[in-house]
Amino acid sequence: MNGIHDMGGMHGFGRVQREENEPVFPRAMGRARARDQPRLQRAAVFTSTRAVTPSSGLEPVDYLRSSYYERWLDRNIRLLVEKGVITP
Amino acid sequence: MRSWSAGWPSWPTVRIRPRRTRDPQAARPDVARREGADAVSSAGPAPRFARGDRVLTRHDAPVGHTRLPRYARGKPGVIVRVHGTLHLPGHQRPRTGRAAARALQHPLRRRPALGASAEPRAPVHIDLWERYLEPAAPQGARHERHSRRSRTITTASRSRSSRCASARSSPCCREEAGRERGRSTASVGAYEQDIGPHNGAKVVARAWVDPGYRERPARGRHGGHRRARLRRRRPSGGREHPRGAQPRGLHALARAYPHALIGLPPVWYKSFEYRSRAVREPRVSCASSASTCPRAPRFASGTRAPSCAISCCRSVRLAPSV
Repeated sequence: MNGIHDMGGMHGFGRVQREENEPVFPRAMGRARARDQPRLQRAAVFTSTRAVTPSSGLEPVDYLRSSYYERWLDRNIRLLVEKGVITP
Repeated sequence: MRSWSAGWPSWPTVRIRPRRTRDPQAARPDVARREGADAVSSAGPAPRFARGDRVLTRHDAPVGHTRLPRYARGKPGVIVRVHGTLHLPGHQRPRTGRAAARALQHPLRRRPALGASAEPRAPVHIDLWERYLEPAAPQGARHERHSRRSRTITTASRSRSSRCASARSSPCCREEAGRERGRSTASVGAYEQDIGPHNGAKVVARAWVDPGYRERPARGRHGGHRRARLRRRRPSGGREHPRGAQPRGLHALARAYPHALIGLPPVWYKSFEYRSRAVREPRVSCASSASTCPRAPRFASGTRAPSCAISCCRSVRLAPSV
């Protein structure tokens, strides 16, 4: 699938910005995902393989606009909807 | 290339301590290794390619997920390593995929197969499933074929039977839910405090002073950190994988980032800027992030120490010595 996530070799994203001594979770979003993840794994909602496909299905514009952990949240929601745990 | 967003690990906590061995054979690594290797290699099918084979990657964009990234499609390469049979994680009945090629470079000119505008002398080494590859030359014209028997790794699938997935309201689940909050918080703390580059630093430091330890990565595919008694624990349950059920060999094709050794990746590693540039210009993208890529120092034995813990130097490190 030629998705937006497959960006190896693309041009135009600019210079790599690096921050020294950044915290492990720079934002609350990351910490929240770190809390979610063990629960989802125990509930067998989340497995490595299942985690891949929904994130590939994120729309390109949304993908580029969202942060790393926002994409995780989106994927988790998709998985939960797919499993019938929650309804959209 | 791995899917970048699939890099969430199974939340390992790293502990460095001597491993208790219950298996008497484990006390004799020579026996265990020999018999173990034989036992598992008969489990998988014979590999289609061998080291030194010239191959061409498939040129296809299948619907759904693929681990053949766009930049690697339809490219020539040489097999530099056959990993053996690996099982994909997450499948109840593990799917057997075979082997991986690990080369994507022009075999003769040592130019990247990504075009003349890509950074020179930075061949891309990539783990690919065998089905992504086609032979580039007729069978008779194989170049420098080694009759090296592929070793096979089998990986136990994640056991789901121990979980009560069916009855969410059962007492054991409610009890489980009560413990969850503490565990979830613990997983955050584990990543903020216990897991991080300091664990990798311990491995490197010990490798410098302990020759036996240093040789381990050269002997086994799992690298020093596994045999070096870095234990994985699941902070969620505080329970280790049952013996023999630890996911093994997955990092080659599914989990590429050594969380257990260097913690969660920094933000720039996950950024679009780095992800897009790392393939074609690994050194440039590294330099533009204001860090330098030192040359890998050599150990006396000829094995190389990881010079840069961050994988921006990964492809550089694997390249022929310059």
